[in-house]
Amino acid sequence: MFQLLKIFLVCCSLFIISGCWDSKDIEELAMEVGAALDKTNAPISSLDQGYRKKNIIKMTLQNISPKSSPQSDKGGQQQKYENVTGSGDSILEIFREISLKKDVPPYGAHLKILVIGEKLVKEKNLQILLALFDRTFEVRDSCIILIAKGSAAQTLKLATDVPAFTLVGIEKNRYRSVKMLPAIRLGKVMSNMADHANFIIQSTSTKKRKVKFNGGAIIKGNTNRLIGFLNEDEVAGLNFITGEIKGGIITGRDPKTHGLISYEISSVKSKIIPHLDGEHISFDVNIESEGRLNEEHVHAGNAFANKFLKRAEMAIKKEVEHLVHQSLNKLQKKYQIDVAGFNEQMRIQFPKEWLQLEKDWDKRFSQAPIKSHVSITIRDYMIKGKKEISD
Amino acid sequence: MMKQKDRITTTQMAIYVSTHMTALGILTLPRVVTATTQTPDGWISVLLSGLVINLFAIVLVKLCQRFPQESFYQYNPKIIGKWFGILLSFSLITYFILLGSFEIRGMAEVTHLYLLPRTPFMATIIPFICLGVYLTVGGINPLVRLFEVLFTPSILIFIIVILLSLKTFEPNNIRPVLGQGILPVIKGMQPTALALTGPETMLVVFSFMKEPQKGIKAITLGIATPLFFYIMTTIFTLGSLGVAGVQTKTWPVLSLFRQFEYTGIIFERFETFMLAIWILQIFTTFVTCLYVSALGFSQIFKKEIKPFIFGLAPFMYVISLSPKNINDFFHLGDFLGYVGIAFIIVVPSIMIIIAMLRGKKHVPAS
Repeated sequence: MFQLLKIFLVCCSLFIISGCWDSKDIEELAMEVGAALDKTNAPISSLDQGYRKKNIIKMTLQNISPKSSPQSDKGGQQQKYENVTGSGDSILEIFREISLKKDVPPYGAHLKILVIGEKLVKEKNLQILLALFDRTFEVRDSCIILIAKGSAAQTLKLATDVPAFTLVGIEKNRYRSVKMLPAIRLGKVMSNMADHANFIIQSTSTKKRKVKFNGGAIIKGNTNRLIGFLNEDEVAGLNFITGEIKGGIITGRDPKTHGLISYEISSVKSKIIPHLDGEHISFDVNIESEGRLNEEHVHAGNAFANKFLKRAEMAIKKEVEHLVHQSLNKLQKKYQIDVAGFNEQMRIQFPKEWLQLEKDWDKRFSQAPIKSHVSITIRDYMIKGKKEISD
Repeated sequence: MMKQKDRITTTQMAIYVSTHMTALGILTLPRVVTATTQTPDGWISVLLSGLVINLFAIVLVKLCQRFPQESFYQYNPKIIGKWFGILLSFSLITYFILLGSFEIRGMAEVTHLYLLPRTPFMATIIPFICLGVYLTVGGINPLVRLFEVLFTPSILIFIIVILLSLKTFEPNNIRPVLGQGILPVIKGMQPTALALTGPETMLVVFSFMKEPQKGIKAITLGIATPLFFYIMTTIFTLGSLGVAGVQTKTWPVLSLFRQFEYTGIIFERFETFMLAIWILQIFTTFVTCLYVSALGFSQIFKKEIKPFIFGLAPFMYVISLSPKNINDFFHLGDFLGYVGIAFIIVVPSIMIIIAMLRGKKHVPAS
């Protein structure tokens, strides 16, 4: 009898232990892969009657559904994603708004990319804007943040398979271009803002359903608002200062013949050395780069001769110095803001004095003389050394 | 009462102490330390307080070695008199009950937050307690054997996952070392209390040691292992989140593992692994608390231990649900940290002085 009772109890336990309280079928989830936030002044639609909201923010979610969509016989392109739009005053409100319109709830754990419109970041504090994404357990801190020039929603409407994945893919091309900033992720953005640090986010432009990563959006630390953009060349210069370069090319002009010389970067090392003399602040930036000669439009350029290589190195050096100078000029004179990590080096080298310097650092930085020292080494020139004169 | 087979080796003892130490404290440690130091030197604070704790833990072992066959509950009346002794024993028991309840609540909070948002606390806590009771009823041997089994995988997974976080590690975040001098570091030692509680269980379980003369070795190893994890965790979390970022996160260590993803290998995300081994570590701490407090009752009243284990379980359930919100919960943690430190530093030091003055020592029967 007792044995039977035991067996019965064991069988009963199967009912309790076999299930998961929080289980959700994967088919019944709309996976968010991308999200875009924009400023809106859209009037309240007729669907929204009875709300007291003002519709400040417009959010576009890019959802992919794991449901296998049936192949359409008509040969028409099946769209692999669905964009859902909602607007409201706070992000969570918009999410709940979407739940009133869609049968499957959006699921944020796979959010890869978050694009924020230029106008919204100019007006709203980014820290408050992103608070929900930071606080919720669903969205991971590894979600990439981009700032869109113009409308952010447009970046999720590219003519590609899944626009959000395209954006993530472009982000991975940093080893091929110096004009791209290192990916900044939600966690890093939140840390920066908690620190009241200035920082720079990759910005994008979209035109006719085509996107380009061009330049960087500067966020000022004490207001957490967008104050301006750097263009692509300035971003390249900034990358040389921070040493955040994995690859890409620099094109210079041969001083003698004015022919083009393309230099492919294999490594960049940079070191910012701060000097503090009483109240006087100055910096030295040492940039060392190694790479190879990949393309030259110089007649009679003979790479077997070191003389030519030296000339090419000089040409590239000049170009890099120009880039660095250009971006420093913009940061120091136009925006008066330090996003290149000069403050970090100052904090590390002069921790005691930093407590005083910290308060009006951006002003001090904008007046500090910065000397850059660039050294370029061309290691090799592939399998072709000498160019024939054909004409 | 105590059976002869209830004996544990020196290694087992070290593992016992270290699994008891690694629990909730580790998840909040980088935040609480950095909030006090405000510099990237938190890891030095952890190292220093670890050394201090180890020093006092040696005193604690010295005290226990005076009575190698008896637990704290049994020998303290001999040192400070019957009534004070019982009072002290009861405060130690209360402390362990609260600590155990605190650990289960922490487990429930984190599971609720990261794994099972819709599952009620009841559904995670009750099976947890039931399993704990089932294990504890077997006595000290099943306990330490389980700890031994869990120990190696925990260390391996922990080291692998924490090294993966090198992807977001920025050396500048932990520089400069000692930039603001030693003062912030000293201040930062205070909030490490909760993370460093654990060696006080030695007061009770020392009596199970096969070779009591190796007590110092056991406790030093037992403290050094978690201390190594704590220092690594603090450095990596700070390096990834920065001084300001760490302070904004409720569970900075779990946030650390959410900073990065790896594509191309089988797993992209690693916080699940960390949570899994960490829940096991919470379980071990809870189980030791349950066992040690039940043992206290059984030794004071000289009764069988089983009824006390079953009796304490619902108590711990109720206590674990009593903090109203997460701030209450953290306050309870701070309080327990200080009490724990008192049982490591103050109580053994005073006791050993009194014992020396009064010449109290266990007299071998032979």
